[in-house]
Amino acid sequence: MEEIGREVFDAFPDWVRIAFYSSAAVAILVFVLGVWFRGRNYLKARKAGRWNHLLSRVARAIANITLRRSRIRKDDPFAGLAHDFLLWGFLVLFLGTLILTVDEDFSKPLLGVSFLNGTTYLWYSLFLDVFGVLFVVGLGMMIYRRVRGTVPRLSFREQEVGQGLRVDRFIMDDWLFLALLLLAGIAGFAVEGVRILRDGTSFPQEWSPIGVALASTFAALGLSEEAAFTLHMGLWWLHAAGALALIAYIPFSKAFHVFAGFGSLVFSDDRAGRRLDAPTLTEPTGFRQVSDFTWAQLLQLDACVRCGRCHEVCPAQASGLPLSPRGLILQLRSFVGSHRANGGTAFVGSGIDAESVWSCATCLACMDACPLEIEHIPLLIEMRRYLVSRGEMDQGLETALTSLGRYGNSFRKPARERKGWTKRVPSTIKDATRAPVEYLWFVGDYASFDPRCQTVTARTAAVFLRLGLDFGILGEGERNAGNDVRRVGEEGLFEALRDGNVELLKDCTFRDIVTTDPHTYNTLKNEYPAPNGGRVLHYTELLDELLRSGRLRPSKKLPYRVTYHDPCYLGRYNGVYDAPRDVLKALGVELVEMARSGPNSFCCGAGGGRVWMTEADGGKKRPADLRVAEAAALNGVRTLVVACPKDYVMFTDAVKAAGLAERLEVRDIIELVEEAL
Amino acid sequence: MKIAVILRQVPDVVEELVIAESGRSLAEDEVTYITNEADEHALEQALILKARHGAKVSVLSVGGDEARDALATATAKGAEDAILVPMPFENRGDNHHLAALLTPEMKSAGYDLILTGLSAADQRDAGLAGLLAARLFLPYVGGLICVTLDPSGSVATVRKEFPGGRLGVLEVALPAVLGIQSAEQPPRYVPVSKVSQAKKALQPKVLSVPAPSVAGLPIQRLLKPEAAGKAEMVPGDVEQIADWIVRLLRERGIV
Amino acid sequence: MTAREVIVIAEHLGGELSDITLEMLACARDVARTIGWRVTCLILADDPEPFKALPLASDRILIVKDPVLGSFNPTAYIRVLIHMLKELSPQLILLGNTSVGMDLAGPLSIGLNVPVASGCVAIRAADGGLVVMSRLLGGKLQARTEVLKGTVIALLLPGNYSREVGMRDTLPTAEIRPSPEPLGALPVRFLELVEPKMEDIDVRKAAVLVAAGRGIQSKENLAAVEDLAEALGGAVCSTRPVVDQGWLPRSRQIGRSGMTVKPRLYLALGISGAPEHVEGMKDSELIVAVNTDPDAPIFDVAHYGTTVDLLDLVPVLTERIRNLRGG
Repeated sequence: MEEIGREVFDAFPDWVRIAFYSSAAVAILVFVLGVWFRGRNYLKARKAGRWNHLLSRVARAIANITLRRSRIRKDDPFAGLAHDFLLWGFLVLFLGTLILTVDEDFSKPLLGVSFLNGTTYLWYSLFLDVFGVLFVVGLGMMIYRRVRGTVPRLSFREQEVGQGLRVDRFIMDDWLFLALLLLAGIAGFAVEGVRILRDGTSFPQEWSPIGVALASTFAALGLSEEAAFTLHMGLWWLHAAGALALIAYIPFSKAFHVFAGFGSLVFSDDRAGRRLDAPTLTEPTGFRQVSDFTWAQLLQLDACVRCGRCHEVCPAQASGLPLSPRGLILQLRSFVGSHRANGGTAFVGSGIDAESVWSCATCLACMDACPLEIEHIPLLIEMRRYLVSRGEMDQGLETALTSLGRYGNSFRKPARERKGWTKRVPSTIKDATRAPVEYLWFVGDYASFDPRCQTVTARTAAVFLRLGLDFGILGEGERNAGNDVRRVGEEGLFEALRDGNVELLKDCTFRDIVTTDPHTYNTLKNEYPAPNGGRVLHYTELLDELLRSGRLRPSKKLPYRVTYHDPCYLGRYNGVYDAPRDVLKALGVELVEMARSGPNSFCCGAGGGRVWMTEADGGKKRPADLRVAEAAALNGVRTLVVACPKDYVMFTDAVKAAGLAERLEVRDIIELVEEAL
Repeated sequence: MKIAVILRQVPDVVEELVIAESGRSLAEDEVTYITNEADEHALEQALILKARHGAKVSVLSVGGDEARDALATATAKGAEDAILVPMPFENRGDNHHLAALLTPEMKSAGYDLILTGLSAADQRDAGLAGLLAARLFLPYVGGLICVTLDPSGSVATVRKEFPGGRLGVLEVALPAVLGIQSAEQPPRYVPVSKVSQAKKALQPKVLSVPAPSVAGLPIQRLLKPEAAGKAEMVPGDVEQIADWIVRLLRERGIV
Repeated sequence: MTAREVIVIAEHLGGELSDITLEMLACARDVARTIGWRVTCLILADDPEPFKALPLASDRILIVKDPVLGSFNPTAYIRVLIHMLKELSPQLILLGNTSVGMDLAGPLSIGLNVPVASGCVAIRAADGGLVVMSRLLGGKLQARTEVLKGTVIALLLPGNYSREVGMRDTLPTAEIRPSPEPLGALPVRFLELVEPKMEDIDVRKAAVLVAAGRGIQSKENLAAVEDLAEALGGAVCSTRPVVDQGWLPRSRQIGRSGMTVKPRLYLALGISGAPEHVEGMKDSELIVAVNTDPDAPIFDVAHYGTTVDLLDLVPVLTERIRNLRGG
């Protein structure tokens, strides 16, 4: 009986071996050059400070991919499964080839012994066959999806082509990548089949079910010895060519995501966006050269596979504004890779319009959707810093910033009017700057000055008083916390506001800070120095706590059927989803979730300073209009519950504009709490 | 080409206005100052002309500490020259006094164009621009919303507002003084970081001339307006007021 | 004793005297009557015909005629006026607190060495002198000034005196003179007067106007205001800042440099009531003002007022009106 093992080149003349290794060398050289070409930028880039806890970072990234935690499968189990097949299939096949190479090129010639024989070899070949099948099945699934066109984001149909992207090149790359993989996979099986045919072996010498099956198929063709040899050679070269072409092609295609994507996952920052970094450049440049980026940012740009999940969930996109998160990343990548990125023109203005940059509501849906954890928002905010430094923003935003700089609020009202809302509350509210309190209530601009929000603020105060909470407000000295000021790129003003507030807080004695505004909450929690050991709470978290401790006891159950909108800065930004829901549950209401709830919540469109801007909207329905339609479409739901002053204002206006006032009522969660007390 | 812009600090009407015990002026320690809005427009117009014609912009800022901050903002916006004109509290709002004070400096500096706001919120006499023009024997046109210069820089074409939305187009030979109502575009925003930098680097020339004994008419008494007829205030909450208004409109046959 | 005189410097456009001239004459008449002064209406024009037979409430009409004076060239006006006023030597010189008067006040003050009181709302004769009341700081404060001796120039704010009182039954004597000063070689040339483009509606024709001031806070809130205007069958107009922000076209601006309107209803929302605006609407039949600041000067000209927030009131009011109209 023939020895069981894999004879790699023995079936072929010597020149094959030489030719193969030469071609492989070329392919590998091209690969290395390609990687170098792409990677040399990384050496020019700035530091990113993400080398901390390297081992746990790598472990986490591996767990993300292997333990099915990746966002690929969120809302798209088909893609999740297909990618699993591809990933594992490719890894196993790659590993298999590696083992083969080691055995063939090192173990045999250097040690004179082969380890790929006997039972080892049998299991090896079975494993490879099974995973090879999975690999091809996965590819088949991916190809099927594209051919059927069931996923619009893959066909770039709605992509803003005006952003100067070469969509045709993308699509070609998409198909080429799939084609090369498929070629390598199928040709590999075919080669196996012919080899087994020529070896004349079968089970139990071969544990390759596909190979054996293919061998019998070939046998049925009645090939002569020479014909079989030619077929074997031809298929072998086909397989080799496919594999080598793939290797060479990797750095120039989306296949590069294997490296860059993994890198992006390893070096990700889970506080990205929540806690922005102070500028590192002395003067914002709008991205003029490679050294304006950190290497982590370049890595993220290279990681993008154009899946378009970010594009799909973007509220600006949905309302017709000229912003695509995917477009932004691809444009930046193109810019970095081109000769443009050497200190000449700024990216902002040449690669992207100011209008697009201002369209973002900083809702974080793009970053949350990205399977490769690319950080779109910090890039965008850096661009905004540039535009602000040049004074290129719309009039409404300028007016708001001027008012914020002068009066500490965007309403052009003097500081002394900040407590005006307290007139709606019969009792006196403690001044936290004069007396120690347990909860320092940082009220926030909208809650203080917008008349519609003032009613809600007064109700909140009424509830706090009824519960006998020891709380106080800052009064005149309070200024806008600065969350959105920072996110429009006015870093200097943000610092001034923050420093002013921190000064004020220093002299106050309190345990925790509570606020009703998620924007205020985000910056106080993530971007302010820790408040003397206390916590920063959203009022829903506080209410939840009080419910659990029994201090808040609803006296009746509310018989409403409601839906709840997760505010972007509370949910996606800070992971607070359960507290408001637990509160609602305790109030006895029937909660019906919208399709886009929790982390998938759809932004009201007011964030990122959009609420201050007056420029024309996108022509399609605005985000708030889309959202109230979504809420109103739920069967039997007559109340949309909100937990953010901006949401309250945006949705109340949208309900009116849509003529849904009879159908849907917008209520703040505190109104329900008060009713149930 | 040399352009001068005069910025005046005036009481901010957004804040509460407190009258002093004497009743003749505002209470000095209760006043918050802001740059006169029309003067901001004058600066903006000057910067627009600078961008178009490469002029040099000098800013004279009148008042107390806030006047210094206004110079920092002006230089951050692009003005080249910063001159501080300290003005004690009792002389603020008096354009006759200010015009007399500025005349020697303006005469010697030889500006081609002097821009300032048409009027200041706290003035009680004539506009600064007209008085200054007369003292310098220069032509003056005010109430302008647009200023363009001819290529030689010796003639300005201006658009002057008239009632009913009409605009007069006039030609003014330079040097001249112009009173700006509003600039061709709203005053630009300059980020806080730039202003802070400018503040640190600021070393203004301080105009220290003896105060002239010229003054406008003194105010005998400053008071909250006593109008001939004051509105009848409608009581109640929003709902009640809405009902009341509807009733009134029905009575008058308007609805 | 030399007769003491009040001189009203007239403003005119297109052959018609502006309303402010009549208001100044009413003021002059008011002052002169108590102390027996003479009132002269001084008109600088190229064609005296439209003016010489007007029944103005002055003792005489003095017209200086010259082709250059056909349009408002400030330097020409000043040259003529300084000469005339030096010759006439009045006690009180009245100018409109307008784009015309404001160009003249400063140069006349320096040329004649005479003090100026601007933003005047009332002038009275008292104790051998004059007492002038003016408005400052966006109309939020009032100042009282006394002029006990010497001449004074006063800039009168439109809307404080009645036009009708500026006219009377009989004709004053008219005198026509040529310009006492040569008017060639002036540093200023008047090229043309541009009429506003009327692409939009003419707010002067609306019976109901809903006016938005800075208090509406944002462009978004204009939609609610427009709903209200529509429900009332009227049009939206505004103050200058709203137009400067780009929220409404300039044709909707009411005030000194915008339109003057006299609708049946003027609903002023979030408008503080600065003089530049008030002069454009104070003659409205019914003025209802909404402003959270109880000290806002708008309440001095409004018939009715409320301090609730307009953002609260407007939607409720719109609904009520719609219900009424059976909508």
